[in-house]
Amino acid sequence: MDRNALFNATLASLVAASVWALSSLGEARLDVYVSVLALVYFVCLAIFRPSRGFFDFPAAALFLAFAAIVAMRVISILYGA
Amino acid sequence: MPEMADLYSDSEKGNPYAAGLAAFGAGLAAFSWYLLQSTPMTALGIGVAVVGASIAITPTAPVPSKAVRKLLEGSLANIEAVLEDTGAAGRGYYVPGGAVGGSGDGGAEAGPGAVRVFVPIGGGGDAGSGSGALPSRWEAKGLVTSLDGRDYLVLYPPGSFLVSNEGMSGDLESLLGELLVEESGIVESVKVVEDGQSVVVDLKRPRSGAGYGRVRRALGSLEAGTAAVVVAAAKKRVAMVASEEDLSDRKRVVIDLL
Repeated sequence: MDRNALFNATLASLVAASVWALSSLGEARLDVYVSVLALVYFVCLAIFRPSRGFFDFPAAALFLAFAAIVAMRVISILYGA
Repeated sequence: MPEMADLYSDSEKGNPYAAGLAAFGAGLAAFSWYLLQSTPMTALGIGVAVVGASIAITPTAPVPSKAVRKLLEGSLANIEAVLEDTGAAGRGYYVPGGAVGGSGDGGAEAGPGAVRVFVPIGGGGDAGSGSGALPSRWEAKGLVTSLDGRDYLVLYPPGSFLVSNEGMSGDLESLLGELLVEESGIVESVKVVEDGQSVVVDLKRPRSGAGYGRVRRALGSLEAGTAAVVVAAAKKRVAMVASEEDLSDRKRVVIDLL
């Protein structure tokens, strides 16, 4: 299996595993799921370094989502829940 | 001939069915969030969309890298025969597509087209030894062309059609890595050091045994010659394999920019 296929297979497996694990724990906050998804994506990206035919818009979208989640969390801490 | 390569560029566009998977994931996420009001299902939908998008932007590779390597090695056998028949023995000049102009103007301008190598026929053609000035124009008229009173054998080197002027964005190391490591797999990794008028390329664990004797003198080994093609295309300047050093598990190639 080449690097690209291995990346996609690992990503799919880890996404399924993380969603199952968090739902088993009863997690109901969507931002937790998105954060873990972003973490999984970037870790796989760093390990496998797959080639990309286009601009990596999933990475960009996940990064922006993660940044927004962190910003909202910081704001809620600074200005009170 | 370069236009033919565009017909096969669809292989770089990724898997179209994955776009359907991404759309399904997005739909599942929206359905789960607004109708089912289930956070885990929404997250699963987002995950499926991300995986689908990732597969969609992953370029497919219809030709395995091992096959590409064998094709490149095979092309050297033909070049060896042509070099022997014409008596071309000098160091070749890797000229980017549509290059005009020669020494004295700081480099050649490049237009569209593949990189070609001009191998001097009869007598040493090593520009580094100062044996002669570069031609004022790099015009190829057939297999053997005469430029400024000197005959040159004009060839398309291995890897010439694997690069294109449109794809020459990004730094040199990533371009070399993409061609030498990912597409053809002829080396394990690449490291580049640029030094003004020359480029030093460190090739780790070269996997090809092709390119010796006359071919190596004229074009360099398969790895060195392919690296020179990328350098010439990326820098849009005439390049030459100045030296090639075989170390224990790597090869160090110095490519001069003329």
